[in-house]
Amino acid sequence: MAATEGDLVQRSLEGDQGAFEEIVRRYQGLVLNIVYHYLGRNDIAEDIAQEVFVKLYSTLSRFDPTRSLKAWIGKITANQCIDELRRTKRQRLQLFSDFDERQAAGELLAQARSEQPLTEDQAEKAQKLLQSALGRLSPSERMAFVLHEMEDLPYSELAATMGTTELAARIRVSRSRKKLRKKLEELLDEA
Amino acid sequence: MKPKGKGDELLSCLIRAARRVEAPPFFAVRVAARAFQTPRPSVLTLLEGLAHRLVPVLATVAAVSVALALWFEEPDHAAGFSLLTEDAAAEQRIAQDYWDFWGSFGIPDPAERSLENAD
Repeated sequence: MAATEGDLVQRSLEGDQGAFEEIVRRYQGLVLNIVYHYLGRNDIAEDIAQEVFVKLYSTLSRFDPTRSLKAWIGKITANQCIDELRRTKRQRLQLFSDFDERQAAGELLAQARSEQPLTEDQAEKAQKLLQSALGRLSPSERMAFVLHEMEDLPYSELAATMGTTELAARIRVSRSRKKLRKKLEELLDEA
Repeated sequence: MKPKGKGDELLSCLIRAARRVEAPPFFAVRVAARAFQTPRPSVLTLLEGLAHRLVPVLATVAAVSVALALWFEEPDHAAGFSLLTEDAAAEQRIAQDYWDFWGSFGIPDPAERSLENAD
């Protein structure tokens, strides 16, 4: 039987490195993907994920076992991402400057309607277009969107992760969806 | 149900196509080892961190206090602030300087003007 999160936390605090490894294994995908989708950079995702787990270990004694470990890890990841974003804001803005968003939007919608799978080149364009659209959201809206829509975090855990109420979390996700939809519609109209 | 707009259609397509990042082999082992090598912050290190943050604040407060003390050493500066106290002579001197300056541009002291009007 798989150990519970509470057990793993307790054993990690007692110095059981294997227990902490198991925590990392369970949540490494979550952390890496939040970092990747939030920052839009694969090259630093691993380093930041590593920092997140080191920070998790150093704050593990403060973790309340009646709460969700996933939300706690999500919170540390979100804070780490926001710090990184502040540090590298200028570099990010120039990331896709030569990318034709309108052309990509039209092509991807046509492909989605044809119900054919995306080619490798189109998947790459989808990635860039998504990152570019996400870049237009505020940091909190972007984090809410990534956690809920891409990492399937339920609203209750999203609220705990973002330190807000469930209603506010719902509003953030809905607002971010609306903004993204509007941005994509504008691109499609211009295409 | 409301039909999906093209923006929604494209957004769903982008979310579906979003790349998933896989952890490299032995990531958990490496990370756990690193975490265990990093000492957990003790109360002492937390206090050290706090002191580290407080030092620049205290240094700024001290520097501003010294600068203000030196500034007030100058009699003119101190006189300027006496407007807020009851040093009537200094207040009058500063008012005189002020209206002498504006008087050089032809703007009279309203106090004098009202005296002239009274005459």
